Amino acid sequence: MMKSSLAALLVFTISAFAIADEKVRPIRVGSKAFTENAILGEMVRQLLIDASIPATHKELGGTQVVWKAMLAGQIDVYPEYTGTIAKEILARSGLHDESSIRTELEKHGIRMSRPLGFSNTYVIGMTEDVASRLGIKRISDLRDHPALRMGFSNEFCEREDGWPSLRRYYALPHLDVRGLEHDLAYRALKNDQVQVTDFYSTDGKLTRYKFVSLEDDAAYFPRYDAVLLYRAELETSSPESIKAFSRLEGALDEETMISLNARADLDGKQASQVAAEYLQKKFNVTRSAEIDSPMSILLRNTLRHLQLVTLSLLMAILVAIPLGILAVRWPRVGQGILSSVGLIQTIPSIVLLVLFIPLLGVEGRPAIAALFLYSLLPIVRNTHAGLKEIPPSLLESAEAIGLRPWPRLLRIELPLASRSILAGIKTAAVINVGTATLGGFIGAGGYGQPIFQGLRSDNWNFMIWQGAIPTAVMSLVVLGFFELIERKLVPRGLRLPKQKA
Amino acid sequence: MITLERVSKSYRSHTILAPLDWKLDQGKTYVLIGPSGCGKSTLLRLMIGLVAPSEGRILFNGNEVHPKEWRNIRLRMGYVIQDGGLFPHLTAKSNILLMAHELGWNRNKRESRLAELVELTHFPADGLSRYPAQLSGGQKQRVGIMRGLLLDPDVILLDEPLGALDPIIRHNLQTELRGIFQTLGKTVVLVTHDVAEARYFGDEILLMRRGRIVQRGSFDDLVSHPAEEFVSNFIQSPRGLEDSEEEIEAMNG
Repeated sequence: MMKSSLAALLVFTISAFAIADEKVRPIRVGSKAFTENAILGEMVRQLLIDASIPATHKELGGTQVVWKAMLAGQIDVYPEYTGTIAKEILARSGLHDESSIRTELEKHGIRMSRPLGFSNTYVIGMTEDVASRLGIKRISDLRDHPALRMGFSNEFCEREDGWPSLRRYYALPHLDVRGLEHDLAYRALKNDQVQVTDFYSTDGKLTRYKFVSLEDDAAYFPRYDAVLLYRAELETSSPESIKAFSRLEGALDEETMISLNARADLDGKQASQVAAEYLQKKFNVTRSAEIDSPMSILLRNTLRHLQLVTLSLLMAILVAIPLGILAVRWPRVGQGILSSVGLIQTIPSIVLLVLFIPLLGVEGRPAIAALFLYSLLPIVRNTHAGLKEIPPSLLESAEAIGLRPWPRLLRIELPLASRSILAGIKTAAVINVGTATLGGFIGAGGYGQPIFQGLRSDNWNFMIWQGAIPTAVMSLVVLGFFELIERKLVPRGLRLPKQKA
Repeated sequence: MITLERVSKSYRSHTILAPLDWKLDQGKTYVLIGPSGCGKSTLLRLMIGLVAPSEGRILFNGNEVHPKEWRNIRLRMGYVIQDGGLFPHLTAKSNILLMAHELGWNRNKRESRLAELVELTHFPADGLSRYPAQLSGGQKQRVGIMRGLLLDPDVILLDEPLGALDPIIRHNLQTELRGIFQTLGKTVVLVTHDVAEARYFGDEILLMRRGRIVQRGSFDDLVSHPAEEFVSNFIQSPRGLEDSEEEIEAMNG
């Protein structure tokens, strides 16, 4: 019973959101959610716009998220690295030369541009202080220092070419290894909470902070040449777009990329601005340089956040109240309904978001779908509880005086349960305002976008003022709004103190 | 009027009401009385279709009532429970006129019927706009009675209507209620736990025990010709149904 109603609920959610929109759409540029990839994504978008091709750019999650979005046809082009393609995406040995990679990609309907000019390999880094004190210069030197604390990015911990195989390759003895968010790893390094971490070789922080990269003396890491992956169908549907973004081929050397990354990460510039500055210098592209003021960013994110929260909440109300009523009418079905919506609540939100990507694409829809599902539990449960709390004598009275079932529900039962139902909606709304920030992880926009962006570029002011505080303020506003609604909607007779007879 | 033919109610193997026949006469007041759990409330709820009989037939004016017809039959019955059974989210007036709205009465018809009821029950006019939580126990009960009488029903069913009131208010309301019953000449079925109340109201008293009618007749019949020892014990117990059957037996045994 529970399984089938859970399945029905998921099918409903997906079909309700998978409304096909097959109108002529812009070229959708994707990128991973780290600085360099975001800058490259911006460059692609701006070059397309410069060529009068409508284009959008969304920062998504890690490699797997972006790759799946690409396969599902949710994005058309994104920046990738040859080493990642060979070792992580296609995950087959012997794919070292370019032509075998191309052949393999072709089977998925994906094509690859020529290299953009720089290689962004993994390097293992330490602070200069610790490295010189311990006399460590090469990765193999780490073998003699088993007590060093390692802190690697989550992605590096799990990749085919990441820590587990690096450890085997170099026979490293370290056991104290923890996974961190990439953008927090170097912060931990600076504070000596970890002493060894992974970097991208083009990371702006490497040169600015006193970090050293250890020599890959046994030649473990392959080359990670930056390229653009795009869907093969662009060759026919929009050849001019390929021509536009192919201008990046060979246009970026390592030094340039390091300085661009530093502009964003260390000087706090937005990826779009860094990309625009470079394109102007290199190609004299000017049309695309739009820089948002903090107020307009805040306004845009506020509207988007409100949109995510209200759309998901409205749909949840429409579905959850009837479900709550059904659960009371048919207690056996009700058990299934209540357990199912409870079960949904236990799925971690990031997992739910990523699960929806292949079905609903990226950006808003999976976020709204996930928020919708999370909103169900409080509303269903409170509707159920509110109706159950009505004294049986009142239900009998309503029936005995001759009210038919529908008027009974609308005039007696729902008004009597209104306070409990509204409390459930309020809970769902407040939780939604907070949870919606995770939408930033999959490019849904809203207050999550500055939070993730600030986290990445170590721009704490941006994160707090554009993300955290507005989220808190919106929660309070939502609470206040529902206090008002309660006064309007809950019948006065239910808010009166009892008078002694 | 209402006729019950071999009507019984059981839940799983447990008998709540043994098969019984009962033909109600127009204009009489019947009182159902007996220890708690004797089945008197179940019997009352059977008569308005809130409980379906396990066996037997219920006839209204000679026609058997089918499950789908109950709603229309209920429009010709008034039902009043302890504390009035008022809906806390509606004012006294809305509680009384709920069915008038449902049936689409126009404003004039609603207001004139309301005025009649207010006069009949001596309800203070300024109380009409109050919510149940703002009314005294006696006022709530009057509102419940007005709601029950709204559609000028053929039968009035009352389940412990005065049970929640303190003695003085209860006494006043008893007097008024009997006046109303006499004025209207309706058939009345009243469930109570109070022997004195049963005596005061009942043209005919049905004394029940363990799902069975032990004796029916006037109060004097029950006193002078008790069918079994339980009848006289029950009638003599000072607090009637406030005591459980075991207590009555212990007290008298």
